[in-house]
Amino acid sequence: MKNYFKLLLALLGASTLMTAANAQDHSAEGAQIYTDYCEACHQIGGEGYEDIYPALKDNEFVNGDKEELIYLLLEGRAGMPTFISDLEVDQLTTIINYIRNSWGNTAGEITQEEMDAAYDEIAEEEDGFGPGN
Amino acid sequence: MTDTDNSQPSGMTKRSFLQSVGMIGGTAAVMTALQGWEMGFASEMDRPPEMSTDGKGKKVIILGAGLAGMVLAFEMAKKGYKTQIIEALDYAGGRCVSARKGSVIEEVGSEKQVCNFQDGNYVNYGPWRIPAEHKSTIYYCRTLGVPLEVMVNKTGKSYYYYENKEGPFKGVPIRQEHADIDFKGYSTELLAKVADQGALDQLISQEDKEMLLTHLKRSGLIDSKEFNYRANRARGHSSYPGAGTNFGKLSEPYEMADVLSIANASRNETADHPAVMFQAVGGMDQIAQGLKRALKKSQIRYNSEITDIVQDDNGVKVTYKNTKNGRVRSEEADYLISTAPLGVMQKMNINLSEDMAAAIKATSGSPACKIGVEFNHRFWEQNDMIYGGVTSTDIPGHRILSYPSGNLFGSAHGDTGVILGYYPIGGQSIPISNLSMAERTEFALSVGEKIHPGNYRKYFTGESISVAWHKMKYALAGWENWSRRGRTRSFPVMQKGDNRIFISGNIASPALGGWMAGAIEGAWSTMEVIDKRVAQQG
Repeated sequence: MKNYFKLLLALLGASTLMTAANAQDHSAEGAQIYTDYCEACHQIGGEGYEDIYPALKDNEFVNGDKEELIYLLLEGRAGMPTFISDLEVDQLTTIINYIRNSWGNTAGEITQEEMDAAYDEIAEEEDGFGPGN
Repeated sequence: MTDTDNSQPSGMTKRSFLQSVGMIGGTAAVMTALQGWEMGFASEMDRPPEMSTDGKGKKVIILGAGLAGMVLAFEMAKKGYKTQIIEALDYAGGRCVSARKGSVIEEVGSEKQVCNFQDGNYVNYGPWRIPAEHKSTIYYCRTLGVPLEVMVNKTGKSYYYYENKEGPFKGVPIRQEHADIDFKGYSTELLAKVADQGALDQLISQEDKEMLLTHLKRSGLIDSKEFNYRANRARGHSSYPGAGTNFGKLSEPYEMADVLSIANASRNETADHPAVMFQAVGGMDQIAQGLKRALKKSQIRYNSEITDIVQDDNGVKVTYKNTKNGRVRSEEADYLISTAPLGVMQKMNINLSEDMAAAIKATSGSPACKIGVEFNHRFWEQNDMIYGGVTSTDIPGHRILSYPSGNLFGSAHGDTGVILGYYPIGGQSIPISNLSMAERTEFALSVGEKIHPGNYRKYFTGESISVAWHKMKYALAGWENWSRRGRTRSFPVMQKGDNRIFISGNIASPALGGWMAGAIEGAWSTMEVIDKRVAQQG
């Protein structure tokens, strides 16, 4: 997490106390999203569960190509759900940066612009009927 | 799809070609293509496809004894294929299940639940409603002798309950019939007024305007002079009429602004979710059990978890482990069809082509949670006049509450019943799956008590059973869907198969994800693909 903060602060340049506070909130929000939406399967600490749910800690895919990970969150992947309808687009950015920079993961961070571009490509127009079977 | 010949698709069945056409050009394009072949929709979907070849004794191993796997085994065996299903669990049906006394649900890393409902009570924790247009599902119920009954999907008496929208209805259960008719009534009023004032004159002819106004006035919702929406018989009575001089009292509409604060909920109705739907008598698992009865016992091998699948140009070898005694066995076949949920299939060691492996990943698993809550008094019927139907809420992780359509009036097995206590799908269901079983029950009770104060907790028997499908080891999702990009790029790759390996089930029906019809028609489409292969290559 330390690296994550350093990176964030460096990116923000002339950081103020306010910015630092925001950064902390950001990570707290990531942790909360993780608890609500990820932990049921990927477990506390991103440890995974046997060979059923992959560990996110030290995971090559998580730490690898960021664009692939962005699309995974937006579209799902085999058993993995899509979160495009359930999380706000900024929350999607937050959770990706959280899992890429937690539990010893030190992948670079993604920007909101990168997420927005993918989101705009994937998002479908709401037909008003909602989901359901 | 090849692009060498636009009129006759090569390497694809008519069905798959039509599906591709549909994805690219929409329904109109499909209809045009169908007209080219002088075919209509109905004959395509209401019975299994005719196959051109007999199976010539070819052996087909099928992964999964869900609806798709059993349909494949049943239909292909009839055509002369030797079919063998390999199933990881100890029962047939896959996700087509109902929980009743003695049923067990065990999620990954969670406590084991054993259902203890009274005899006759059950909850469909898998599929639970069949629309009339799912002819394929109804075909098997009819031909296998599985009795269906009406499943009431919509009743005006059930409620909208919203606590996250500001306004006078916040936290107040509102009868759906009142909110729906008021929305329609005010829309009728506004339309009649603007039409009468000439505001539509640029849009429709004078003649059509007169007809429109005539119909609007005949609706009974507005008065014929001022066009104001007012109390009416469609909305019903606040004081019920009776004998003698009791003419009752019509109920007063809500204020328009108040109705607008909730009316959009009434849009949750589609042609495949009509008011009247169907269910199998005694539990939807009876459809799976009907298919199981149609198979030979030896056609399903239970408790068998796949470890390796190796294919070459001549056939496929499957290795699996008995989950009870650890014994490892191998079996060879000419073809393999996997109907395993894709999240489960991903864990198997298979020598798929790169294209196929990539295609599978263009899908997602949809999480879904359900809970059945048992009551020892049908208070919703006797107190609220609710007979089946669905109450909608805006409580995150809750979504709906559905009243039982079976045992109406308690006439089948007494004054008792099971309410589907919640049914969140997609990401919103995941926080619910984080809860312990006791916490899930408490969540369902707390919401139910808001809708039925004084009754929901009072008549709860203490028995409930819940599922989080994404936490079931051999499902990992309620169903699977193609991503939008996957539908066009990857589905055709998957559908034509990978040498000796084919993938079927609801994922083979991109427009019917999560429906039993998706599993059945997916199986039918895979049969056609293999039939064509065998006809061409032997």
